[in-house]
Amino acid sequence: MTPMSDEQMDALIRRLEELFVAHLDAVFNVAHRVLWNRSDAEDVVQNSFLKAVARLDQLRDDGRIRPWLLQIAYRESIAVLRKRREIPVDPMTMPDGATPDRGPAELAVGADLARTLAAALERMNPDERMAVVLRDIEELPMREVAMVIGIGISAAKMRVSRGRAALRSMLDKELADAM
Amino acid sequence: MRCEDLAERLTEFLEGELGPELEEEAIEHLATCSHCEVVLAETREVARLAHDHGRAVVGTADRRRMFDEIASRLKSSDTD
Repeated sequence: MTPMSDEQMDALIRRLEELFVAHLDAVFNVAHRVLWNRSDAEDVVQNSFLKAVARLDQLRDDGRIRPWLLQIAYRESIAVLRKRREIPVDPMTMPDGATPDRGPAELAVGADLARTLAAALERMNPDERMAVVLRDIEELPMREVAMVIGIGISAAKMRVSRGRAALRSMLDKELADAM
Repeated sequence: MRCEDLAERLTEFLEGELGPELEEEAIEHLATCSHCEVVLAETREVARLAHDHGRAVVGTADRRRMFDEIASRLKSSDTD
């Protein structure tokens, strides 16, 4: 294949950067909630964005780029998972819950909740967990949740429903405090 | 509508996909059933907690490093 000109490569890098800035958090979140290991999730992020850039011409509708990217990341993550014999847990990968608009007290509460949530998510059934990650954390419509996972809409609804019920029972104390 | 009917359709209710008749039945049931009212409120709260605190976070330095690594791999794949 003929190498690209500098202008073509610059244009591709700019497109990559647009995708990366807009979707990194969601792609990383999906990978991490499958693999529970920061280094493996980063590998999935790299491979997913490289595959996405190589296949951009296959994407007909720009509005569907998010579920399309997450589908690539989810499949990559499952492939990594299948290569493992068991899933190592990396305690350093808990989210810090930090966002620039939170004060110190709220940040501390947020960090606690983030750790509690991460621990609860980790204990969930993986299929139900991914449905909740996509619907409630990434806010995908149900039809896109189904598309990313590769199941029907009814099955996606069932997984979200069961996943939320499982989280409800694990987050008893947090719910009592919040309500 | 009974408690078990609503439990079965809770996700559709929250998605606004029940249809007008069933939705009205669900609302009527919720007005008289404190158990289902609590289940609904807790389910909404779980979804909110997950949304606000459930994301694995990437730090600023990691973002820059990850992007540079991907861009570098993209460039080197073109010259291979």
